[in-house]
Amino acid sequence: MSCENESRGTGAYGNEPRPAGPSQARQEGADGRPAGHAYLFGLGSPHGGDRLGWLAADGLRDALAGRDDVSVDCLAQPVDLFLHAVTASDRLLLVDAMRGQGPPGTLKAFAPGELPTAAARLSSHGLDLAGTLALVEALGLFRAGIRVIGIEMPEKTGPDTPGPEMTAPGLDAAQARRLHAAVLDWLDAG
Amino acid sequence: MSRTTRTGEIHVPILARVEGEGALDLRIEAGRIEELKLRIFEPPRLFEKLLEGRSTQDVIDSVARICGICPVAYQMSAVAAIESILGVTPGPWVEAMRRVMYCGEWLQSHSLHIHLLAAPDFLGYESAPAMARDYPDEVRRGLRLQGLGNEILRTFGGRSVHPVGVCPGGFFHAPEAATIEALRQRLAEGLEEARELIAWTAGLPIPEDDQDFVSVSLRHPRDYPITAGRIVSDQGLDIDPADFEQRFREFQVPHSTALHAQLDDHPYLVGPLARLNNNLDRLPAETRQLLDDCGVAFPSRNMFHSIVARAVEMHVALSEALRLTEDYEPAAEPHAEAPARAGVGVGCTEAPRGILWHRYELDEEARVVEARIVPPTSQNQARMEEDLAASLTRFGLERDDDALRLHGEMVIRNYDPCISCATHFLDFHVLRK
Repeated sequence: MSCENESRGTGAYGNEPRPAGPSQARQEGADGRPAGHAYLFGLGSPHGGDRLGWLAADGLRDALAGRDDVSVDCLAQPVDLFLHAVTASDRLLLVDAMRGQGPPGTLKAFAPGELPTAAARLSSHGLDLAGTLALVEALGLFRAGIRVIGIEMPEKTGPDTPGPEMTAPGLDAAQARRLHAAVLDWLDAG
Repeated sequence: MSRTTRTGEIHVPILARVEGEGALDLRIEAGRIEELKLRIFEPPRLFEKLLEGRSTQDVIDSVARICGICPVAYQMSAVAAIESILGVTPGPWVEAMRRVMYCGEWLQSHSLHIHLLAAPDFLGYESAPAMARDYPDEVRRGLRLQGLGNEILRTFGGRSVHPVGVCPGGFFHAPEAATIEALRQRLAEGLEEARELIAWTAGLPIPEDDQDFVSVSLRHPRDYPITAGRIVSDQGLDIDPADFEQRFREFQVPHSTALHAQLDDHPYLVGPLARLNNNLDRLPAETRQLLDDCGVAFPSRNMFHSIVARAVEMHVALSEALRLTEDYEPAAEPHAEAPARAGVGVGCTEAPRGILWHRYELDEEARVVEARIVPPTSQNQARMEEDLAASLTRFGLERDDDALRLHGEMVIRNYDPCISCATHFLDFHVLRK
């Protein structure tokens, strides 16, 4: 199910059961899944350059369909990762759009401690990525490893630039291959 | 200088763990508060002006963007006002499912506030991650219940952030029966956690701080108020939402880009504590029993009991969502037709933070001529300043600056203010010579 199919109540997060995971964070081995399971989440929304995380997850879901050691999903907010059955022994890979790290399509991998500290925020409107990762650490989850892959957005994806670049940024074939290779490296490094 | 005649100034330059940008300035002279300002300096967002000329569907989708955590409240107040103008009466299925969707919003907003914003204050932690190391099960419970609220929003709105499922007359799409059945299993699990949550919040070390204030909320003839009702207070107010402007007045103060509001020229409280104080007899029977058993007496004059009120309302939300989805079947026609019509209409619903009042004037093509939105945080601003003065004085003005600063922040956070919602309007005057 594509995250991009989201529409007025009929999309991937609309009226169908969620595709991955039990409803709650599970105890160790509660569902019989081997320790060290990997979760790959695309972060974003259906809009502008922010779509890149979802587009990447959609592509990777297809590319990794034959593997049972990884679950792939799209999240509208980082804190939704707690809806999945995550444990201390699992690994986490987040894919998100980024700015200011190179030409459009540039991939950059971050450890949690390498994220910009200015991004950390906890407010009445929720947890951002850094705040969510701080909670993940405090709760002792994903001790087998956390990685964040940023994908540089096209330059003209701001609100002042209506048009195709605003509404349909994407990864070209070469960029998608590089992303797939980076994810496979991470998965197989186990 | 004696301990009782302290003089000095305290500034909290940025309020933490609230949404938006605000600050607190306090001037103490001879042991008394001479000046207290909850400064709101977030730039105005001018949403009401942006809505002019928009279609009714544009309004419903646009007002959801005002707030990242209460978009449903904005949509429901807007659609109620619009439907009153268009002469559309939603059917029982639509009314029930709108209430379920709204329950999702209460659930996620209240859970976030209880577990990650307010509880660290009462338990003496500087942040939620710090608390999570000692209270991992409680924090996980909060995240699960917040996630369940988001799941409800996704079910009806297509997504939890700025949902898009609501339209004049109903919804664009009715969830499938299997989707609701799966959701109900999780709602039942959540209800059990909400039972424990009421007792947990009631057992927190909550300061004693009784104050006089006026509780304002909706009141429904039968149900705990969420999507409809008359506006009432515990001091005898009982009006139709259409008469809001006759008794409530918004005005600007120099230190805030958000309007203040008064009822009959006095501050008042909206939000979970006010709702619960005014609607104890509208609680579902099991919720009322849990409240009676928890050891905290309501109606309460202690603002810090808001955290218990939020827990009670989470139980209400889960109970109501389960009740309303029992024997669920998707509607064949999830929305009624809504022909264009001119007129003026009002909608008022209970956002997680209190009553949210909308008024629209539409032209013959049902496009907005004028819009007015009164969000709960604006309404609570004057009450927050009143509360801060009383609470800090009771806490002890002779205490050191850090202690006063922390207590002041705790008082403000207790309201779960959304400053970004409140700064929607700018009363702009220019003097030209």
